[in-house]
Amino acid sequence: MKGKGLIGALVVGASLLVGGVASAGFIQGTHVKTDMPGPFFITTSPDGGTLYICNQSGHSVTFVDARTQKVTGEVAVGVQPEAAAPTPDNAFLYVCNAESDSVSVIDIARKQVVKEIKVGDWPSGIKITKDGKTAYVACSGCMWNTIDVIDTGKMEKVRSIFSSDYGPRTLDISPDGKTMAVICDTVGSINRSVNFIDIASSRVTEKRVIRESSNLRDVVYTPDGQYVAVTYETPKNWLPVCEAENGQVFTNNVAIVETKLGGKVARLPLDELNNYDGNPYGLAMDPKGRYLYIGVRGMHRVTILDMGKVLNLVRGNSQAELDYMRDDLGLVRDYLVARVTTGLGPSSVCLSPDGKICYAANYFSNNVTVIRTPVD
Amino acid sequence: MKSGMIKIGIIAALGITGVVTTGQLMAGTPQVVSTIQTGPEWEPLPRAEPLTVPEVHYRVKHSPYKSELVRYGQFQFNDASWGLQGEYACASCHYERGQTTGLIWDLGDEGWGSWKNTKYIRGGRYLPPFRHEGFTGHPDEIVGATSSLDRVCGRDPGFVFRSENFSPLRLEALICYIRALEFTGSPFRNADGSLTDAQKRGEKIFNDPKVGCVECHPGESSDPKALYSDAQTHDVGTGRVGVKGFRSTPGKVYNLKALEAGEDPYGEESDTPIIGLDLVKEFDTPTLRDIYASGTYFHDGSARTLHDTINNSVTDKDMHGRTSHLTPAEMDDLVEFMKAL
Repeated sequence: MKGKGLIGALVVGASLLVGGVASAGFIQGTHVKTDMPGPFFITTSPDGGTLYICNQSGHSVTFVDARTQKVTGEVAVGVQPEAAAPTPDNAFLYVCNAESDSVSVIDIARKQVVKEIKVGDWPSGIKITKDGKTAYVACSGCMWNTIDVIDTGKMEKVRSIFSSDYGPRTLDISPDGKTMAVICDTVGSINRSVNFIDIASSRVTEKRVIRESSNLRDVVYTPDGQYVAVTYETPKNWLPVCEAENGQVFTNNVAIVETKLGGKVARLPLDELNNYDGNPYGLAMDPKGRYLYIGVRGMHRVTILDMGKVLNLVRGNSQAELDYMRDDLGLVRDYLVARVTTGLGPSSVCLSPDGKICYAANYFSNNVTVIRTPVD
Repeated sequence: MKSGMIKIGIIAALGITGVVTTGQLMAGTPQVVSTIQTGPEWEPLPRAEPLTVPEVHYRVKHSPYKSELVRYGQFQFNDASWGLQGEYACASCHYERGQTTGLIWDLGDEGWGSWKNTKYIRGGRYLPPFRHEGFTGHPDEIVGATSSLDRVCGRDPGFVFRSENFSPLRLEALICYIRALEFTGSPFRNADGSLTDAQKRGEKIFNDPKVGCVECHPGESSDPKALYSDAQTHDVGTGRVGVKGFRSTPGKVYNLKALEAGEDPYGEESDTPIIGLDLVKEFDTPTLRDIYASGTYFHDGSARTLHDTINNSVTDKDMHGRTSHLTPAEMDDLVEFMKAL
């Protein structure tokens, strides 16, 4: 824990209680107790049968049977769990405890924490390789730049990969398993970046800047591996705000980043006039790449984009042309499928394996919204 | 989780919580089919009647640690729907960990051209005054003296954020949440909380009267409550007043090399402006607690790294501590110590 505060000291003991039921946690960032779990992150088992929900305030993971939609268990973990990933055989769930600087390993069948692995500062994103042998953990501390590597056989951290900038928030692994895309939400920078990392050599092969960006929140590959999508906000802090009277102090965007070396970066708006997507967060990509789902934490809805139309736009325009589109408040109608109202504060979304159901974890209303997607 | 908390609400298409707005309704229109309740049901405070007197110095009436109020405040902090057209929330600048994006903004609170670094607000209640210039005192006042977000940033209601005023209870909830935010603690110490060797060397330099850090940043590393601030304002060579006096134009040239190279002095290519204007030269001494997490530094974000704060690259020589005689290794140790606070 390295000198972290009282919150960690109070809860770290409980986190190793095998099979323990989570006790009341703390409101994020405070020492104030709460019985509100605050579901912050959601993912599914590989077969889609179980939902795993990280409760950021409750310091626990809730299990939900996706078929019956009933809670089947809750396991106490470390402080502020912000991400999780099951192994491909669904034997273990690896959970990032952001405030504890650790990863809890849950034996899924027994619903017990079997190991707590120390990692770098503020782990907030995790992915496991298709062979299940390695977990990559993005450690997003403000002065931290590691993606820690866990050998899942040993359940030990074995090394670190260093990102080009501080604050690697989360990551995704390319469909071919050769590359990972890491978003660096670097405090103080208005030109934050995506790192493409060659997994075999553990080296950053390219740092791609998303110009005028902040609050990078999630990244996901398209199924063909040719693009990644990134949610972020565009601060207009280089304008005196008196020049921003028509709005646009912030705009809310999704970046579509070509993965080939030196490729395009399309910064596409999610906003419409008088209807902005304040604080876009978690992402989920349709398994066949048809739709992109975005949890909009500040506006309590899931925005769904037609990826075919999005990619036509990206392919059909030069970088210079794409740069003009960032603030076009009419553009989103070209690729918007729907904005679906959810519970309060959807920070994370995930899909059933067939892409027909989208789940949104609603932080404030302590529930999961189940959405039938446009996929037939 | 108690089974009583579990509630499954099957909701018809376009039902209570499943309103869909769409540009092109089509076959297979997405819709909410159910809601799985995984914790207690919860609703935010109603908007209620907003305050109409913006200058009231609002004081909290309830315990600032009352859980319900703090959570209401946390919601309000993250809710973009409350502002004009849903652009952004408090958390867009002071993102959800209650920290900072480290971006600078020209909010016009000192006249245009005076950029201010986004404040790190964790632990803010321990250390009034709250704003860079020390204009306001306690966090109660920075929020409470407002009734709207615009006042927080020193502007008239409706000017920047164009949001409606808070109701009294919503205002109190927001104050409670901000007051309740705690320092996070350094990840850079040894596992047992002790200082590393480099940090110990840095502490000696920090406490050396010849260097002078402790004159304005008093504190002992063994004291978990130390704030490392004298809560006073000082001129440390960062005020970018005009060369012919206050408010003259242009302000102090901050990066002459970039200016001579023809770079846009206020362009988006750099993270800090090349020139600028300040109304005052003295700024509030910030706490050094969580300093590793609160970059960028100085009132205008001109120091991107902790090294920049002490290596005389962005301040007048030896005005922010007397450090010009230190070796690079000693500077590194000093930074390591700061990271431990």
